[in-house]
Amino acid sequence: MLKITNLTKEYPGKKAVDDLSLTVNSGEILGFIGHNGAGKTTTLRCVAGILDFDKGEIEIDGKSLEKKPVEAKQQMAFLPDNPDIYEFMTGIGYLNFIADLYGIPKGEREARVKKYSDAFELTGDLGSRVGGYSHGMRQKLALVSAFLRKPRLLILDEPFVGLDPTAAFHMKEFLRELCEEGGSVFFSTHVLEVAEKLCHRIAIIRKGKLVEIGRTEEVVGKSDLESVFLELEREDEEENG
Amino acid sequence: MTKLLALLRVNFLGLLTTFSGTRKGKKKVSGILLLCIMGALAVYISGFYSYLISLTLKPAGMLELLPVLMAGAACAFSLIFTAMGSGGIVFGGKDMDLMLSLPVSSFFVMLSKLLALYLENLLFQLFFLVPTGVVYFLFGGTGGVYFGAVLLLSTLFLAFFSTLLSTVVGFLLALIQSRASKNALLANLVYLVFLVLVFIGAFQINQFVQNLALYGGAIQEAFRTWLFPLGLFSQGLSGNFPAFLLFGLLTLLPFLGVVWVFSRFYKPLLSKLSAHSSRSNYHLGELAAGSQFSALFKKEASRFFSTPLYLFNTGIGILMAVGASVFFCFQRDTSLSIFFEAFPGMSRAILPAALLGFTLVMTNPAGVSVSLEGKYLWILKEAPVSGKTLFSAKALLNALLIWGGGLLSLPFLWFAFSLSPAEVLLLLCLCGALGLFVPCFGLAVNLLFPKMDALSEVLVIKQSASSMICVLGGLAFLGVAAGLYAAVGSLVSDLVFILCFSLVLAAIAFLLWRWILQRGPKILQSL
Repeated sequence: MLKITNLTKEYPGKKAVDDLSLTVNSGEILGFIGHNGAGKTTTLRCVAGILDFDKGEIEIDGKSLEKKPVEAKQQMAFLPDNPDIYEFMTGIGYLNFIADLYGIPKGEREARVKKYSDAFELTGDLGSRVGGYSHGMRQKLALVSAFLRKPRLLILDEPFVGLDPTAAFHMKEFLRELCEEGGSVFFSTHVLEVAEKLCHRIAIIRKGKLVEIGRTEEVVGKSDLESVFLELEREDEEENG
Repeated sequence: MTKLLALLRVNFLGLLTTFSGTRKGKKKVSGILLLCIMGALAVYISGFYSYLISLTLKPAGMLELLPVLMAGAACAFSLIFTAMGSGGIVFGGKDMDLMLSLPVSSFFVMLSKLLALYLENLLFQLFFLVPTGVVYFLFGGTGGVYFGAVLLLSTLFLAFFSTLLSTVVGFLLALIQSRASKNALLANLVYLVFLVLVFIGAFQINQFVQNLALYGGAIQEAFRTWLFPLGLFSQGLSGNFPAFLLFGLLTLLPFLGVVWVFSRFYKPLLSKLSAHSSRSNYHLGELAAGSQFSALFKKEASRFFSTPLYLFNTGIGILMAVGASVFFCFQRDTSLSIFFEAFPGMSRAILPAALLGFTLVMTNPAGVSVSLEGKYLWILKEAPVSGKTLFSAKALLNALLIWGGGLLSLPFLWFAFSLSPAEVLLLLCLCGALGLFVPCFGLAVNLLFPKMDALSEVLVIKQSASSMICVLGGLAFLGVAAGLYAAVGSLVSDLVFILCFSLVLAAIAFLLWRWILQRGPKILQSL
């Protein structure tokens, strides 16, 4: 579903992502973990088509993000870590706006909006302007707008930040449901327990380079993800003296 | 004091840096350069009006009134320029979390914000009153070095007064906007009334200037009664330094008083202003489906009409076009008739063409529409939308506003100038061409000079490089056309000139549109 080949993104004086390659298969949830500044968000934003990259290739469902951006983006949805949403719109206005951009038929959009906004307990607030929403409500609205598209690939940057436990539970349910229907999820998180329980595979990034990728049980082995992560950090510190 | 200076520096730099673009430093426009352009504009307006007023005052022996009148005009102009901005900068609350969490008293926080506005006003006062002083001396004004020094010193005090005024008006506008957050129409109406009052005031001032010599006694009486601070200012300029100091105190103390009052209630004020009305009883109903283009267009229109600051700053040209057209209807048998008798060979279409050009070229919401995406740009970047669809939606809103403004003005102009059907048709062509040119020019400028990281929409709409270049560039383009008309106007008929100008506008629009479609998506992606 997602194929990243030799992705490189440089900022002045720093390689944020360095020759990174990975794939996310259909029906799979891939967790993307790494310390602050490792390059997770940059990678996700490149995949979402928000950031330009210097080298490499990104394909979504076989469509090149560079050569066919509109077709590639039609297949996916992205949720940033801090979703800023048009404050002059009402919640329902924003959802309808997104549904129009993705060409979701009228009947389907009504059913989907109801399903997801009810689950996230947001329906009653959809008539209010986004400017009056709390961070959590914006996060939920962005989530509803993402699920509403029934994306083939869902990209999430720290999706659990700001969500209450009920919403987090429903989100995990919907992520599994999306994968059962053949979709894929690629998300970054610092909540290692969630990554361990939810993901089919785990990828670990350090200083822009992919240092580990594999099935969750293989990566974790006999210990837990936190131990693996800390062990990798220690190795890194030793390498750098 | 160190804390105050640090806050002042942050707030003032915040104002100044809004002039610069953010495209990796390659296309940065110097804030100083743009300040110079603004200054030049103020110098021109002040110099021009000082000269006109002096022509009336000098023969009546009332030249000493010139600096006082121009000081009043400077305060009025600065109120118009900064009132809406102060609402956003002082009461916008964008940096509320940071400011209110700092270990600094709310008095210092408020003082730093108002002093930043004060410095902006001070620059404006200087640009305004220095030319006045020059004109005063050119017309034989007395007072010498003392007069010059006191006039310069007076800018320090006058800026306190204009800051106070713009803060209070800005607060009222912010209050109305926050109370009317569910009803953009009400907020827009309030802004409209404010602008209409400003326009009426401007027309009154023009009449007042024409009959200034007749009002000498009334002015002196006002200086002794309800305008006594200006009376003190006038006495100060004439050599009474204690009166001047008293005038200074009368501007400084209310300013400090306003700082104190607002600082005492800053936290509850910001909380109230930032509180949004919300309800939790929405029931899902039928949802209307539309195309990508209609969704984007509706979004642009919704932003334009729900943000009074955006509506009235970038849409003011339409109000001016319609307002002036109506005004000319009342001048049909008087001023216009005399004017055309004085220039018998002149086409009746050239003045309305100039009016439409001057006003509609200032109707440029597209010129800041990319910058206004700011932190929301991720939504458009991740969406499966082509650059053409995106830019078309932004351009169409601007074009429709211009065409609408033109269509509303034309019947009045037809009547006021007794235009022939052919002339009306040509003016229609001109409006059509302006509707093509202005949005393309605005979009191109905004793509070249985006301001994506502004703390507040105020800074993007009123003070960004793009907004200024769009207005000044458009006016400069009209200036070139006027120059051409002066140079070759006698060789071709006025109607042919208007037609050719419209065609040139349309051709430039076509070239700009091609450039936007070719380069725009790449530039947008790099933001």
